Amino acid sequence: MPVRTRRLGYAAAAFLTLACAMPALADPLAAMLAAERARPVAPRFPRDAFVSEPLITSVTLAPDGSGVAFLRITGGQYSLWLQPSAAGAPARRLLQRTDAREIAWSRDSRWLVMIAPDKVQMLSPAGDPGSGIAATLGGATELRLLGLNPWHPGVLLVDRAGARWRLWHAGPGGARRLLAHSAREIVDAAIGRDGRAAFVKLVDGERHLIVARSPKGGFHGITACVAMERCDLLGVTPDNASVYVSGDLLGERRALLRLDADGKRTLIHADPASEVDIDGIVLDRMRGVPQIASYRGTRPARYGLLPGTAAILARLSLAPDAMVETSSATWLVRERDARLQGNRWYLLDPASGAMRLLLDDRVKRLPPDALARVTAFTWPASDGMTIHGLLSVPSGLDPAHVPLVTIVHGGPWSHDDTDYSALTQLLVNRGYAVFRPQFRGSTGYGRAYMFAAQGDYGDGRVQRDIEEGTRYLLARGVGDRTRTAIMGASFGGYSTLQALSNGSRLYRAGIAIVPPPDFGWTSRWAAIHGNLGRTQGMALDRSLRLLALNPDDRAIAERLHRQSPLARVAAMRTPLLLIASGRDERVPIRSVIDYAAHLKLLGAPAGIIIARNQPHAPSDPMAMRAYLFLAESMFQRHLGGIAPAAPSNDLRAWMVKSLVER
Amino acid sequence: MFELYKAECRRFRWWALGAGALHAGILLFFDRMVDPLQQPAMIYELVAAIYAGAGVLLGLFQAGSYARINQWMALLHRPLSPRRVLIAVAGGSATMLAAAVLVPILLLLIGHGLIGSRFVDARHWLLGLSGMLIALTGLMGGIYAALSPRRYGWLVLIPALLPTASMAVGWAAIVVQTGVLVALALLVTSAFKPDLAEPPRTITGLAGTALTAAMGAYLLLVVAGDLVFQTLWITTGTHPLNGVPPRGGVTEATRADGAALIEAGLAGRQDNRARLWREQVRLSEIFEVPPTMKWLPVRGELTNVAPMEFDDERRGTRWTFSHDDMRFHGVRLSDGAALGTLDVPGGFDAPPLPIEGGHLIAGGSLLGFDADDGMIHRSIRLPAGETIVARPSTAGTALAVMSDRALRLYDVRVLDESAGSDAPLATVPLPGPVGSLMRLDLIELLDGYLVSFTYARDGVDGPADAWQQIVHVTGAGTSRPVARRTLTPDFPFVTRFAPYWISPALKVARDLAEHAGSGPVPMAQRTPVKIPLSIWIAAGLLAALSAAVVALLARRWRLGLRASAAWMLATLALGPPMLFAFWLIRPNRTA
Repeated sequence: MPVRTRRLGYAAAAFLTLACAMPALADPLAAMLAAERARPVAPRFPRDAFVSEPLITSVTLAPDGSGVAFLRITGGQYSLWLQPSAAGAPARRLLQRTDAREIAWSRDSRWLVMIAPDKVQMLSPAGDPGSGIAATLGGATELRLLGLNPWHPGVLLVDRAGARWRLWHAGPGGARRLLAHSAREIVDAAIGRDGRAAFVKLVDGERHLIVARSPKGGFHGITACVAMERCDLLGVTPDNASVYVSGDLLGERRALLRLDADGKRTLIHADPASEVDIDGIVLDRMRGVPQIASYRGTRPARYGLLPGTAAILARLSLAPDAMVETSSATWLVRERDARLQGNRWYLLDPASGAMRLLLDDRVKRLPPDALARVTAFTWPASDGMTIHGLLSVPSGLDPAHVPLVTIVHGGPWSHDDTDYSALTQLLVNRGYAVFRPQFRGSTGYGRAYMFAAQGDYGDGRVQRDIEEGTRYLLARGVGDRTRTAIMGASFGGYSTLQALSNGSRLYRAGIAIVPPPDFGWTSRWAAIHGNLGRTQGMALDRSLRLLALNPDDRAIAERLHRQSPLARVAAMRTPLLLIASGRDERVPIRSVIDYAAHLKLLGAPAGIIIARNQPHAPSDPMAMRAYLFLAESMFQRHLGGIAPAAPSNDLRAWMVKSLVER
Repeated sequence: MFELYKAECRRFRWWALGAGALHAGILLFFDRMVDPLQQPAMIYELVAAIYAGAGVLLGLFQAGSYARINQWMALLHRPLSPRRVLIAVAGGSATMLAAAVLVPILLLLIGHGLIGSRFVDARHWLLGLSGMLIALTGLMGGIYAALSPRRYGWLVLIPALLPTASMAVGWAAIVVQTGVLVALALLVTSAFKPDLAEPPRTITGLAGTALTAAMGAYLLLVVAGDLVFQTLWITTGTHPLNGVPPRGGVTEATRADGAALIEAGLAGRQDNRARLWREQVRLSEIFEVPPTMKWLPVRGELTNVAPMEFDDERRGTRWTFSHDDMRFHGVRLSDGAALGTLDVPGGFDAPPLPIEGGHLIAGGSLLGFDADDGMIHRSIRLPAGETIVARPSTAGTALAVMSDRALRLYDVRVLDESAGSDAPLATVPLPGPVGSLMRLDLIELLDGYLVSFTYARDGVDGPADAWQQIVHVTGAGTSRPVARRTLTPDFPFVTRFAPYWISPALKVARDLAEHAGSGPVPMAQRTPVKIPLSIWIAAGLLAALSAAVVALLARRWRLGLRASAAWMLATLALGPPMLFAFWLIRPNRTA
């Protein structure tokens, strides 16, 4: 015992020494603040430069590594191109015009599968017979695409005939082969090397059921994914006896695991830091086995799962957050970073680690070095739970004296990632610190984190997380507490309204975009009238019930209404900009207008803008530019700063035509 | 007589042959280019006008050639009674005209039915008969115009335009057209006399001429009088349809944007709820339900409200509706091969009207053609006896369907999910007859709707009362009126009621004639016009004054007592138009 005590004492002393010597390493937030303060002040970029459109998309590497196919976008039209991997070889246009928005290679690299909203086409770059439409989606049987057949050229499709669901393979020339059928909805499948369906995922009430093909024919159930457990089938193991699954069947975070035909579950890889869900799994497309697992937690990381892969990954000189597509020859690396507008693709020689730039989807982009970093950090909530968040601060400034804007993500069952964000970068460039809370209920941090909200989406635990996160940063010397604002879209807008009308007085201004003024009402409406479709065959009302938000429960509805911004509209006394979308398919415009009318009637300091023809999440770059202008103007008016530049002529014309201001 | 008839036939045979050949060529050409049997009503009206115009020209030419004194004397100085002469002469030209019109139409119908897989409905054969009747009516009109005295002949021809205003459909339209033709033929008979400058010699001929002239005068006074009055008003710059309309008036309501209209409708309420609604109106998108359709397809009608066909582009099929078996008949577009028939379970309530988006309106049903399965599905079926009267339109997340009795709001997904329920979210009974409804605007509330009904049809320059009613529809689907205002007429009382005070009897006769034989026309349901007592008094005084003038003129023209009394009584009954007719006809002592 004395020996052990002494050893513990040494360990404690060593830990204290390290903690004092390297506070920055122990506290990524402090390290990031110090590093950003040391950098030069970024030049002020034109607002519209933060929004740019890609020139190419859906870049994908052939499994034999011979070339890269991609879609080029010119004037809104898409064309299909093939870039050989050989250095100096020119890109070849395969199709002058295509409806496809996504492309993929067949395993033999002979076929390109082109996926459009209403059809799947197959094209042989070598001119093999069979090119053309493989399947027309929709129709009387509601035919839909399930995915690519990993072994044989073609796609997997599901349709419905009467009370039965059918799984099909459709190959070149549109030849179709029935793989399986079931009285339950088929939502996922793993195909064996023999071309037969080996594992199938079915909807079974409020759970999913995974069934395996029996040696004697037919299927038998091997496991159930209950209470929103995730279990996506990735592919069968080389012995055809098991299936790789991405899910949280073995813990609270999504991981890579193997599921045997007898239901046995074996963990293959999970986040070593026990922090986040697995983000990406790269399969060796020739062998069908997992090759790389990646995570985007506080410190992004990638792990090689096959012999030699880790060594190749170690040679990757780009940011650890880059995405990889492997082949038997070269690898395709997509660079992604919070400071990189768009994407750049590189070809990596696995043997030497040499990389060369292959494609760039932007002609012009803001200099990455002058843009803001995004740092993931955590803070302890008042109930002791660790909550995640992202922070960006302007470089070269004292973070304690800059205004702080809290941007709340929508969903609420989603999360912000560390990719480029035009809004975040603009605000930081204008001198604001930007905090993006990943409050409990957010995805990406495991099921327990998502369910931790326990349906408390009124002015409750979730809202506390958001506001406590802001207070935490203020206490840590980030942001001027007299110049704070909050904004968000959808649930983020709801949270904004909550924060401005719940008496917290934490924020001095807010922007609520397409906010549901009563979360319960909107959930109920979406469950009854909404057209959001089904997630993995699961209707919205079922998902809401599992998330403790049963839309039929009057007590829940009354609680949410009682705590809603709508019920507290009279308390709205903080400057607010409310933006609604006239074609909002998620938050009915009628609910936002009802709330806005109450604001107007009560004389609240609210500006109201209605984007008449915009959906819930506009993809129109003009809408994005307009919202950036509105946000910059609003925050400058209430938090101070340099007056924003007037909108350009085209943006002004768009705003006059598309926005109604009251 | 027969020789004279043959001579007239020979006289026009080459014209008839040429016109018939040209007519047949044009029809057959169009039969190859389009489907002449599936054209909108406007095309048939244009063709009918051409037939009538050809008849008028022929009648003017033929009768005009005889109307000169020498030819006229030579024509009548035959061993035949004038009536037989008329039958022979007009019969000859009518035969040639009928042949030039009818034979090509019959050729078209026969060829249409034989070539490919197109069909000819029973109603299409009537179309040929109708074309001939209209051409002959034009012929009689031309002859009458040439033979009748210039003073009033043109006036008598105005009521002959009845087929253009008649609402009769199918066989009833044939009856109306035949009636007009027969009436014109009788008037021609009365005008076919040695002294063309004199009024008709027979009492029946004179009475018919007088009554028709009175109706012509009435229509002239009402229509032309109104036109002259409004033109003069416009020149003064104070016409309500010019510039800014008067506040609170009908014109303002019909022109206002939806938000301003609903706000005006709520102006009488100052409570908090109405203030909130006003704020919502200012912020909301206003959904204006499309105007009611004046005409809906009626089984057996001669023409089409719109082409009764649609294309299944995916299968290259054209589906055309047959009134005979009430089914769509398919023809392959590439080679014209028959592809069978298409029906809907339960059958069509009425001939379906194809509208935008592959939808069909058939009586009380809204149906949709599903390009995926190539079938027609019934999306909505209204309660028995109700008819959809406007194109369904989306109002936010709802589909607004207006019938002749109620506005119904459905979940818009009712159009996509044929297997789903078609129970409406809300049913709002119309606060007045659908035919009087001018516009319908609505906004979405958090739970429910605010609907504005504006009843102003015939209320702009006509006599109908105009008003606006705001109805609150709750989330549970119940509705109740929450505000109502009367819209002030913008036109003077005198002009709005002119058709009544000029001659109430002729107004009734006109309405009866126009509505005779009409099919089920929901838009004919109007709010009954409340005629003020002052209008009745004015009409009575005018009729009495007109009768007095007739008495004075009769005395001056030395008419007999019975004739004078008859004219006076007729003028008392029909008012100033009969005075006008009397003054123009100037009956002599023998009449």
